[in-house]
Amino acid sequence: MKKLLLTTALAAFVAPSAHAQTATPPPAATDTRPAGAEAFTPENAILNTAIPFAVGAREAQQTLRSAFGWPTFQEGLVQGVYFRFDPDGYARFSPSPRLDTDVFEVICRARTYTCMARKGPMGLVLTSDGRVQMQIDQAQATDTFALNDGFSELQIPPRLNGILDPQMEILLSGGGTLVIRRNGEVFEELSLQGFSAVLAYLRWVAARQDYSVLPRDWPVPNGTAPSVSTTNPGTWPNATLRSAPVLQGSFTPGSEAAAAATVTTDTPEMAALRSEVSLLRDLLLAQTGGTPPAALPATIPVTISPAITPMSPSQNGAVIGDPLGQTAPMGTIATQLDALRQDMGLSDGQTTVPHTTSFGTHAASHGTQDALGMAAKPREADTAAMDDGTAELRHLRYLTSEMGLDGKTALLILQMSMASASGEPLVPSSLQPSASATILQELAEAMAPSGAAAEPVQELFTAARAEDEYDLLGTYFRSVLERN
Amino acid sequence: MASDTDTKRASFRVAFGLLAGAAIAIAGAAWAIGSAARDVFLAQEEEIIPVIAGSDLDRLPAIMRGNRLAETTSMVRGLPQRAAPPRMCEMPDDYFDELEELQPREPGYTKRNEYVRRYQPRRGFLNERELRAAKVAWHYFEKFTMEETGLANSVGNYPSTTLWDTASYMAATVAAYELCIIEKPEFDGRMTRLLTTIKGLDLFRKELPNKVYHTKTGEKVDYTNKPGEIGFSALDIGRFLVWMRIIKNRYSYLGNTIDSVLLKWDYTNVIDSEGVMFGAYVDTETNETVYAQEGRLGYEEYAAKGFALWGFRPILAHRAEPFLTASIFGVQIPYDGRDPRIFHSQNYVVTESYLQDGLELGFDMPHDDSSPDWLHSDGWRAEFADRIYQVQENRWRRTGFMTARSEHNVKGPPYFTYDTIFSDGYPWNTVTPRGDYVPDHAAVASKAALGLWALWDTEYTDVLYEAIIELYDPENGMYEGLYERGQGRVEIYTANNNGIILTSLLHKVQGKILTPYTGATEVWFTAFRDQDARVRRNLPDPPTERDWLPALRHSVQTEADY
Repeated sequence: MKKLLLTTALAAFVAPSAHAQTATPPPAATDTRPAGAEAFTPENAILNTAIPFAVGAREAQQTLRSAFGWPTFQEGLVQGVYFRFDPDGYARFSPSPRLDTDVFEVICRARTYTCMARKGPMGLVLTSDGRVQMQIDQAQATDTFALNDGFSELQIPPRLNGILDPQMEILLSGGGTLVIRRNGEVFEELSLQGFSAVLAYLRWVAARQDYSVLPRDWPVPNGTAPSVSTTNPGTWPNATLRSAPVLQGSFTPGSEAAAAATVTTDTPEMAALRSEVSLLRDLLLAQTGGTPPAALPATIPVTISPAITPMSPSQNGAVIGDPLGQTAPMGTIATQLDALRQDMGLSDGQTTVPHTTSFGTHAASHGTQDALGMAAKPREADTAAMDDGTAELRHLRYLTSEMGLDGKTALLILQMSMASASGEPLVPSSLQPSASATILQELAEAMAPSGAAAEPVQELFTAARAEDEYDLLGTYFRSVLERN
Repeated sequence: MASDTDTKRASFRVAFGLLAGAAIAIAGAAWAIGSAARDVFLAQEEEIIPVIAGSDLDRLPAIMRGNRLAETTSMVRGLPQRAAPPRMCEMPDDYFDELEELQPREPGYTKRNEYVRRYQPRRGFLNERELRAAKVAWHYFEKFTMEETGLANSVGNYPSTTLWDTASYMAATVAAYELCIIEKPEFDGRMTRLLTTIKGLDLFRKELPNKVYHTKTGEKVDYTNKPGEIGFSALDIGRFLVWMRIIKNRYSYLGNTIDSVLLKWDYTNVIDSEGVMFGAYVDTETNETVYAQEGRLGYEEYAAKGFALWGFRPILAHRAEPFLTASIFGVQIPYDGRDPRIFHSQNYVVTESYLQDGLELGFDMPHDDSSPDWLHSDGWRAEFADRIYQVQENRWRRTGFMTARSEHNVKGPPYFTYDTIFSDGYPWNTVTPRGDYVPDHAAVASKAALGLWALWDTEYTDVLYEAIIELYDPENGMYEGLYERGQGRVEIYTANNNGIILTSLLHKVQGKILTPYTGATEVWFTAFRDQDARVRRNLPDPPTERDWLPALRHSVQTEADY
């Protein structure tokens, strides 16, 4: 009972297509439509199987015994999973070349780019704004979830039935097994092999086979690699694509599209939070390198350890967590902050980052709040927020230094605990996770040893800053010192 | 002394004279006898036997061969032709009481490599449930035959078809008429309309019918039903030829129309001098026609017999070799030995081709028009078919899974599956045409279940019958099947499924569907004798006994093999 036939389970998903086709003249002389026959029409073709999904993929021709069907399909191997897909988007992903075990099956609504992937009771779709929505059949509110990587289990929040935030998407994309427990007993174990490849496929289909939406490390075929312009919304294939949430949905951490979106969707609130995080990050880096904050603009690029690799969770954790774990003279930090603030002479309302979309506004106002687990809140609540922030900081330090978790995981768990404590969903806004992911992305990039990555950090200290940013951070660190 | 000497000399002379006279007399007698004998022998040698035109001694030139009758077992062996059965509604009530084939017989091969099966077919009138199923199955064709062309859709209301599925429509029409569901005016109208359309079809590069045609326009189309051409299928054409022969033999008044359809085609590339069948496809890069051997064990032999029924000699295509066997539930299942990695063609083992051979051709050789239904002159085909049946019953008994496997359409992607007994090295392998393993699409195929029920009268096929006989939608026809894993019915309706179900029901009433040809010379053999068209299009001459496909046997499995 746990394993359901895709075609049965997706009946409701596919059904609209059948209804949609009733609007077209029926091909037969009669007006009744026997089930199944109308399921195939050449108009259902949405993909060109000659365009490889990944390097090494090839288009193949097939001879059919029946009167109709797709004469071509594409098959290949990517990220350890074999795949085949038809022109109508129907695809299968499996670690076995026979595509017979541990299969992700993808089916697309007829004549649309809306597709659904399924493996057992787990279903995946892209939302209208391009994010991943997971559905696990028969899951109950009391079920608990864990990610088993073969060595250990990581408890993850019970919010899989819904839109996944980027952190969760990253976690699940790493593979392993999703363990669902009910009343303490293992209720279901779902292999996540092929998860990331399937998500990439869903996004690739939704973007009309545009490579720009694929992850950064995706093996794009030679000669067809996305150009720089593909990350520019102005050069996307058509207006629909530009405005569609599909590419926003491609806001995968690590993708070039994500980087482009990050640059173009800043709002004052977002910029304020971003600069707040940047400052905190720089302070932490300065602590690591023993450089006084006053000298940060000049010294940060050279004090970053070359050994730090972008997007490495463990190393990120080391950078974020270890300085916090040290018994740094916080009074010195507060003093440096105050001095820096006075030197800058900034005031509220001086933010100059352009406001581009409501997406950016929304994401920023909530995303950073989640990412740091602290106080992008009205000033009336600053004190309470600072208290919370202190506790969270300790919590974060504990997770990174004592538990040995990497920074991203620690932040994730911190968010879970906040959500549990408040009794509210951790992700009140649908766009919040993307902003968090963006910030994490920036953190990773800024910590890269290259000069290009260091430049934005430097700019943080040379550009005009809103005064409340420093008030906020200063207040925060003072509160930390007072508590200690 | 002198007188004695003279006396001796005289005596010697007398003796010598007598001896010489005797020798001369003997030599004269010998000469006289030899001369007489020579006259006798030479007189026989000089006797002249007149050669009558058209007789066996007449070595006909090509231009004259069409006048000769195709030789069958009844002609060569002097046996009575099998009688064509009456329509069901014209049968006397006691028609089945004395049927010879219902008597039990010892199974095995005969000296002529004919085979007697261990199992009996079902024979008798249709009961109420079966007749209802037949009417529902026929309703599919009533509903989905296009008035514009007379072609029936392969799948529901999707307006395309192949020659394979068109043959299924022809089978359904014959069954509907013989089971008295329709009457002669409708039968004639449908057949004439259909054959007229088929004669007018635009052929694939002026050779043979394209694989797919649009049923409303009659245009050749590709797999997406858009105007274009794909190639031709030797298997589809082979099945179509089987049913053209069945209809021609049963309804001789349609003979000229049928011959004119087939005489339009060019058979140069579909079968070669060694009797190998070839399909054709288009090279997408060069747009040139590519001919490739087509057919694997099961379908290949069935299609080959279709060609042989019209005088071709597909001697290699009809042979089982190269084949291998796989032991499944103790049964040695034969499968095609050609390596898919080299030939890029899978070796699917399904029930359908064996059923069609049994139902339509009685597991008999194409030239056999005299053997009773219980004796199968294409012996190894009948013996292999028994294995195909046995392994499915064994699976049911060992695992509980009702099993009647065939290729079948499915609702939605992947649209079509090969639900096999064995393929690609795996038993009970359900795969899509592109090779995906899709066990969720495993099903009890309605056509396979009813076909097994018709040819194997056993307890197991009773179970299959109960599962399938009411599996229909009265508005659309019989469902394609019943999912093995409990997902319900395969909710799709096809010409092939409904056509084979009708054929199975007809077999219960009439036995082997192919009846002997009762006419004389055929236009198929006499046409174009005054032109070079027969040579250019590889049109065959009437087959003689020397042209018959050989009846062979293979080793028989006598005990279970685990």
